[in-house]
Amino acid sequence: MKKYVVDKLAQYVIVLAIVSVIIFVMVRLNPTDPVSVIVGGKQTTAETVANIRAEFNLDKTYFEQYLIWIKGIFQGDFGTSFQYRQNVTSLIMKRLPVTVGLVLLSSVIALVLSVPLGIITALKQNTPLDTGLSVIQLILVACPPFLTSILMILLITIFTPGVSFTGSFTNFNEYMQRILYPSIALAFSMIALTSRVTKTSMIEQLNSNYTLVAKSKGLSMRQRVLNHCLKNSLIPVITIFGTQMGVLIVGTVLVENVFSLAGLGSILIDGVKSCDYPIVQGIVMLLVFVFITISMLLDMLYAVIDPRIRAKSGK
Amino acid sequence: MSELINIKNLKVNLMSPRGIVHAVRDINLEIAQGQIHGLVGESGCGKSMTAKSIMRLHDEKKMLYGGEIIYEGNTDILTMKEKELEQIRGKDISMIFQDPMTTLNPLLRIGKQLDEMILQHEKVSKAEAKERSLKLLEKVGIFPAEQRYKQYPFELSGGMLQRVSIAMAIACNPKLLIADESTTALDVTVQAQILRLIKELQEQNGMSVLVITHNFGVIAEICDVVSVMYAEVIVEHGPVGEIFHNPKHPYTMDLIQSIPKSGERGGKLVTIPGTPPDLRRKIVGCAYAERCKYATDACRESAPQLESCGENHEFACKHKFA
Ligand SMILES: Nc1ncnc2c1ncn2[C@@H]1O[C@H](COP(=O)(O)OP(=O)(O)O)[C@@H](O)[C@H]1O
Ligand SMILES: [Mg+2]
Repeated sequence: MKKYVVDKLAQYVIVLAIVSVIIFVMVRLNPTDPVSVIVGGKQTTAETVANIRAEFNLDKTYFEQYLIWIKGIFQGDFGTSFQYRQNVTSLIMKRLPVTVGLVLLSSVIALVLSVPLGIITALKQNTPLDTGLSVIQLILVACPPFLTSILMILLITIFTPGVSFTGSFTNFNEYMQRILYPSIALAFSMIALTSRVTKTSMIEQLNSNYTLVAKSKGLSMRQRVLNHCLKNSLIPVITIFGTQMGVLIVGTVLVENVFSLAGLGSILIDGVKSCDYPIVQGIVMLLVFVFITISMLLDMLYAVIDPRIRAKSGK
Repeated sequence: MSELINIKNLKVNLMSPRGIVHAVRDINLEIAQGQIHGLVGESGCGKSMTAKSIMRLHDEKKMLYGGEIIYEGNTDILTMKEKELEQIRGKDISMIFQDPMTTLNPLLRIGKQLDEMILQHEKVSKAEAKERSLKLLEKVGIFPAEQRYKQYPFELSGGMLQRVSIAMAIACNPKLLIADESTTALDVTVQAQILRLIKELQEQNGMSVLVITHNFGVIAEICDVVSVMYAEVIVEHGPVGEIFHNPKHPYTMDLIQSIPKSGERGGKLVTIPGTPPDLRRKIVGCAYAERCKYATDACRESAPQLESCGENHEFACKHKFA
């Protein structure tokens, strides 16, 4: 187990390092000169331009810029935004609660609904209930989160006019109200695939030999499912949930826009438009960091669930 | 001697996409108390189907039973409710399966799976269940029990796992133990050990055992009586010694011929030429006629009925071999 953890941690650090280089390069592939954005199209002297370059370290080599960026990250400093002339870290911190809330709440909603849904459709295979739920799942798979969001906004405004669910918030209650609907929209797209995978893997476990043995021991259907099949069937579910995290994080950016929430999404998109290197590379790095961290934690979870993985990598 | 299980005209029909499969056509089988009863026949002849029917283990959404399985002379297992079946499974009738590598839950410790059987059927504390599980492990020859108790299935060999399965199956002192090809997946020496273990346990607690195999050698080794099955029906049954030395049905003779000889390692396996009939077709006449060297027109016209030839010995063949 120790070796497994060390291996995974080493992988994790290497991946983060490579990704940071890729992000750094990608951001600079944009042909627009950031200085023109910073000055906002005003007439400027060569001297002002040189001053601006010096202020934002744009006069240094790419290698030096990269080192400054990475050093800053370790000190919790993502640099200064070109457009806002503000510290990127504080910009991110102000907007982080919305994005983190969306990711967490939608994951919880998705898991709480899709695992039981998968189990029920597996147990009620080939019944009208299964068919009905499968059709709903198919529709959900086909609906991207921003479309679901727009439909939800329509429905909410038609059926409960006056309820406010977009814009800023001042207390926790309002915060939850703001993120609930977009989280549901995000969760829908995850529920479809996750419940499908739960169903398939649950059916496989129900047909397995050890389940037949459990039946021959006198265990009821309920005991067989809960005490034996559930844990086994969750292994592929964890995998699929991990890969969907990436889609989910991208989804938050879109959904924040539709619900006009002050999350990372809106400043990220603004940042891309205006060539704001520190904002774009900072936020993308943060999102990727969250994604890779979740994947790593899921890898650890496999080992906790499955003794064979623990054993394969030495005690 | 009274019967523990009396199977009367058992039929099992499966609804498959390619039509109805008569997986069991018409089985009559009596399992006496305290005996080791063998059920032998080639793969696919319906042995497992019959065994699973005794415990009603099939997924019943896609199948139909016919006939009766009378348990202890008074209750028909085929009409029992699921709740009643759950009380019998594991407690009164338990089963050991073929592939020991897949019969235990890979994610649960061996001890936990043993305890589970005991806790399911008896009012004991967890500590008492553990105590009993450890004794059971020692009884089936697994040492050191305390250490094995904590291990996961993938840490044990096939032979060990089959011993664990046996320990689990006898945990609640069942009246009937069904062993379906329980030694087939193991190598020859381990096979013999496991058979000896089953025999010992049977002698100790006097349960009945139904040994299912395609290998007549296994039958000869531990069984008291044997039923020979071909194409979903019993074609001959009687005491093992009698059948072995004085087989009446050509299929039984051929099966005995094809016992793998020990000591002849690597020697070619004698198999019966031809294949069993397709179960989706209706079988007219004797099912074995296609492969039988004694078959005549009479055999192909109508099916032979079981008839008696000596004490407890019955067979279904139109020819009367001396
Ligand atoms: N799920 C199934 N669907 C259709 N046919 C089946 C199924 N399971 C078994 N059968 C058929 O039923 C017959 C009896 O099978 P089985 O009892 O497993 O044979 P045995 O244990 O003697 O090898 C076989 O011919 C097999 O093809
Ligand atoms: Mg079989």
